Amino acid sequence: MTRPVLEIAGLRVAYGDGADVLRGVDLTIAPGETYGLVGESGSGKSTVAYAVQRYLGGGGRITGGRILVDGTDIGSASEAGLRQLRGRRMAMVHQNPATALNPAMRIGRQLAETPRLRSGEGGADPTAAILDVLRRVRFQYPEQILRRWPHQLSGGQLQRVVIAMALLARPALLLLDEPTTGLDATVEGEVASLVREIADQSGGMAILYISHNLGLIARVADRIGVMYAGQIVEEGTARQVLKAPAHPYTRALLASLPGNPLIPPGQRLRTIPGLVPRPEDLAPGCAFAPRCYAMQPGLCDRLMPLDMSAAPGSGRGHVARCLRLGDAPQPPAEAATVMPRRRAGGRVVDVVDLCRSFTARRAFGGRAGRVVAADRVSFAIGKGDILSLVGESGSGKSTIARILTGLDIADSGTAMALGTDIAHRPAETRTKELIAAIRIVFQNPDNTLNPAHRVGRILRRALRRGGRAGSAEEVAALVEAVRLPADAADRRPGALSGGQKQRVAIARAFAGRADLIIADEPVSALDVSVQAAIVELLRDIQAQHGSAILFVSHDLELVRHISDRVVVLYRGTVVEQGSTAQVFGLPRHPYTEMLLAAVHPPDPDHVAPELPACNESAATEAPGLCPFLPRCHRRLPLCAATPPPERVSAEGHAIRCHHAPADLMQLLPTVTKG
Amino acid sequence: MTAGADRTTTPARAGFLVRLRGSRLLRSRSATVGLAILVFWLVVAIGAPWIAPYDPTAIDFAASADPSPSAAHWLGTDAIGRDLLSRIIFGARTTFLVIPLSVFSAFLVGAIAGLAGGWYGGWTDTILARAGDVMLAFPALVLYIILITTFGPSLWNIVIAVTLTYAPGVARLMRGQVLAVKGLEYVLAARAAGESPIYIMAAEILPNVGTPLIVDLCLRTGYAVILVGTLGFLGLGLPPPTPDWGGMVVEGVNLMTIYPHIALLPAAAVTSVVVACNLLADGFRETAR
Repeated sequence: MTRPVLEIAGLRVAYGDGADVLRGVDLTIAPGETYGLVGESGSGKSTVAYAVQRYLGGGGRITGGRILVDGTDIGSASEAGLRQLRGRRMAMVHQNPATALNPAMRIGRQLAETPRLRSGEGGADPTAAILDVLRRVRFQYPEQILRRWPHQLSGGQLQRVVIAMALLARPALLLLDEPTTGLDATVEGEVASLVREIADQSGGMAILYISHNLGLIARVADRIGVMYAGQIVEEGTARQVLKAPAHPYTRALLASLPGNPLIPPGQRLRTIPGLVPRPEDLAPGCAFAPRCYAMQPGLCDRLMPLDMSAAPGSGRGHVARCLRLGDAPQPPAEAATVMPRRRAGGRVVDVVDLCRSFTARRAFGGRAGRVVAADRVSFAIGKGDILSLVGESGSGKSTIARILTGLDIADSGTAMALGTDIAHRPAETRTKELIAAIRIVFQNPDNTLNPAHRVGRILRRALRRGGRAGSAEEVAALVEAVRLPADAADRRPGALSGGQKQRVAIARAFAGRADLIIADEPVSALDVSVQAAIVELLRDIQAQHGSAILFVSHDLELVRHISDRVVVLYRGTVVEQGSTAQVFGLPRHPYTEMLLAAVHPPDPDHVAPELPACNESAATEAPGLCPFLPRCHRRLPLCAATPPPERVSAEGHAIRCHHAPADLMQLLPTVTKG
Repeated sequence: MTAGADRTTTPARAGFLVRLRGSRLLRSRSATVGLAILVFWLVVAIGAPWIAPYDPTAIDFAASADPSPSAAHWLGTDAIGRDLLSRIIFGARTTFLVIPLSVFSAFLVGAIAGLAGGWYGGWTDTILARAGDVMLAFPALVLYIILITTFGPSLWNIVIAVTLTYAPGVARLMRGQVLAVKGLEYVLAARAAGESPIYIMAAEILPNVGTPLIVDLCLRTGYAVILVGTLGFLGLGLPPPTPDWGGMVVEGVNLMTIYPHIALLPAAAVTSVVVACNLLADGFRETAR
């Protein structure tokens, strides 16, 4: 067997005087292998990547174990020795490409700054090497890219440049830390398939790919390590871990995903109780025991499963850290079913021809550019319905949510609610009744609550605004309704976890009569294991109140799971809308097709459909024409001449495209790689 | 859902002083030293009539021949024989009256202007910002000289002078803080709940912009001590017999080569207060977050 490129044994890392955040991590990566490290926030997965470079920053130190990169002991290497390794033997790609590149330097010059090229190891013609690597990261015209500034490139292009920069080092070990988090799903899939391609062609480069996204990991990794609370709790090939998970945590995590094939749409998602523990809160015993469905009192809460043991009935190399590995059951099905909802008929909100655009102004009154956030958007939300708005960033879905909430006003068009047009009424001028009827839940749990106020005060104020007394009993009832501990009312948001904060935000939204709850990406900032519980809470309370929900999300699996109706937006235009079955079925708009192609379930055998490439520079945008034209893979000559018609089927499924529905019934042939 | 239970560090219903980060603040050594110096001077200022050995304006002709420290006058006297220790002690009264008044007034004006400009934006913001720019662009000393020579030296004119100089800076700081917080989701939530602008500014924004303002307050208090000292030095301070540290320095400057203590001792008093304010500012900065 060849020597592994990365060998980590018993690694322990602590920050400051705190408890160890890594509690004995072992992993090895062979040449040419891609290792996917998955875990939720706080599991220590990024710390592993930083420790490998011995770049732990202020206060971080390795308290035990050792790391060998290509045979060099990182712990005892000198600073000069480390510099020789970084940027040559190993290279790292960070999460945010926008800050990884120097905004004041052209791409070509930045790539030439790579240590290996600067020291003349790149051969006689470094530019040729740079162009070659840019072609490898799929730039069609690398010469043009060299002359660009970072701000002229999109997020996905920037991340490809950063990967190109890492590849220029010709590293033995490539570290990727959440390289696609924050990018749109379509771009995310593109970067993941690029990483897979690089891995296949690299000839011996080892890759450590860190992510919280099981679908992405399934797409890129040969082997997978699942981290929980500073330890790897399960390891094996991608197929072993994802298809026959042995550890209860992995099993519960996979079962809680909305795309879980065992749970048909509309059914209740499986939830994992509790939250990821912090290193200093760890009780004796297995770290997952407090949340584990298979926890055996007297065993799991006493003994620490120290060793990885072979998963029974699975192949070689599949190991897990669990005391009940032999007899742990599969996660139980959720006992409760989804509450029946009152869909009484009638509409809560009726949006007609809503328009909103933003003009960027320059100093002295010049106009810099116009961004269309909503262009003649029309849809209606029925009483008790869940309607989802989907689309990539910049599609205008949040703008529509803000207009309905009164945080922004429309340029034209109407939105009728409770008999009044709310499209032009900012919250400041709305009646108390209207404000109580339409409430919002925001995306970011850390900013959604005022850190200076106690939860009780926040809820009391919300109750009063919703026309109630705001008594202690009412606050307590709300706290209980969102299943928070009773003493939560006395705490400040700083003392709550992300999921708990989002529960308070939901309680705040339902403090009034709440005819319509606008949920703007309410779970996308939460850990995977917490998401399902929050979504189910939202649905339960919605059912109790008979409220409708406008659910803004980019997570198509989740949208498919919970929605009654779906509206697909692209650059402010509704390109498709209909019932969930209609939108997720056929015929589908080319953009919906592209979005669905980017969905990747946590299944290594899933073949991602690759849509035919389209030449983006061949088409120009023009007002009135289909906004999706520049990216469309089904472009017709007609598209560049006239705006597409909206065709509505007899069942109410609307698609705005020149293609006849019959054409769109045919999915394009999938391009399979390899 | 119980793991969060022990994450609170302060008791649920803490008193005002604890909530002022008192306990945490005192863990910082620089803050403790700064606070101790300020408390010392405050006690001196309040107890001046009982602590001071002499009347600060009484002239001891015998001592004026040799103003050096002696058994009768521990810190010596000034050139015309007034007890220096007593004058410094009563000078603290002047300082601790003028400084808090003027700094408070500057912060009140600046904070309101900054809140209004940051929150409303548009024309309100432009007018307030430009007015502040004009004030900052005007040489401060010229402003004082015009103001005080026109209206005469008095406590209130000094307060107005300090307010005009400091309020624009405070407003800028406040405006920046407001802009940073204004777009956060809890402020949007309050707007969506139909809260009034006054409520949002007072209850949602103000509590979250405090720390940089408190640090700035401490620093500006220190500068204001220097500023008021400078005014006294230029003869623009409080009218003569009132003991004023800045004025005392200027009275001693002529004798600097022979009797340096006459100028240096009040200067040291000024310095101690400035240093104390800076230490306190450092303390707040350390304990913030």
